Amino acid sequence: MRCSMRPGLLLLTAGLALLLASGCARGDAASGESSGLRQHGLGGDFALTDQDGKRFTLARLRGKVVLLYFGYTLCPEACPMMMAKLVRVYQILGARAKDVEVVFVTIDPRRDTPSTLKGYLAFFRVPAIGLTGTREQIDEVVHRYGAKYQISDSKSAAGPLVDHSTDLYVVDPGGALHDTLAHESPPDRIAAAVAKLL
Amino acid sequence: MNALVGACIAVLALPVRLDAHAAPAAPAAPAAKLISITMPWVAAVPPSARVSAAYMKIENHTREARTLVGASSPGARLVEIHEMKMEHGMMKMARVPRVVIPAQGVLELEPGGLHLMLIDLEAPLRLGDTVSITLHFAGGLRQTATAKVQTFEGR
Repeated sequence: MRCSMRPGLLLLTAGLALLLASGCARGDAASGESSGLRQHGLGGDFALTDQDGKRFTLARLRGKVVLLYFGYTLCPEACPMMMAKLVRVYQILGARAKDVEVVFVTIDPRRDTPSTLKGYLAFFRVPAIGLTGTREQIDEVVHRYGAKYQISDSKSAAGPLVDHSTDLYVVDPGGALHDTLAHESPPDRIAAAVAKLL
Repeated sequence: MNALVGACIAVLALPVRLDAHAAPAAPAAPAAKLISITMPWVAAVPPSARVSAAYMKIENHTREARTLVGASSPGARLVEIHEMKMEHGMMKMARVPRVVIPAQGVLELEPGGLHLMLIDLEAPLRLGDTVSITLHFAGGLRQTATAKVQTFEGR
């Protein structure tokens, strides 16, 4: 069985359904940190609005390795943990990090305006592009990458919270989705996955 | 045997503590021997953030289960107990009303599990600052800890 999958991943996204229909033909067993799913049919270009309110296209980052993450600024744990990890990744990569871009797409566009994202991302010691858009635009990108989220009734005074997948998507310099790394991947593994593409 | 006596005294002393707490000018009742808190920290967050998470190790030294029912902090409008868990490939966070710490047991609040969610921060949490957090247990027992503001990467 070369194609291992976490049962939870069988649910939900259109992208994955497509993938399963294609037979999951060539599992990448060598990549221990990947979700075990091939990236066929997932990924690709998209356009959203950046933290300065300007139109952003992923195509603009050709030639760079892009680390794409879906989160939101009210996220108290997973998102700051990932950003902290990416600071370490940049440190490990050193000078090579100039060819890497971190892209943080909010899945909470109602609360995350460009300026909210700008203030949030400026805090972390890693350069990052923050993206927002309409709910429809964001949903399209989420599905395209096989990510998922769900606004939940948390019964918290903090207001609605967003459950979300926490994988990190590695896009190669040609713009193709190269790998999907689990949230718990340590910084050196992430750095190694990036370094392979530089 | 001494420990048992201590626990009994503590239980007997509880109503006194509650009374003391009801008087506004009285300081919070110390309860270090019943519950101890070690390594408390709060995650540094961007200045614009409304929320942050606090983590710590809570030890119940008594011979009965203690139930954590909430917390408070002068640094936030309110504090809730939250739990993170992976479900269907998504990180879910939800409020939990209470957590039981078994007799002589330990409760770890740590990333990926339980944390105290500080909601509507009164002031930005700067690195190195400290935040006082008081844990509330069923029966009126309280224990205060001073949590240091740290980044996840500094952990």
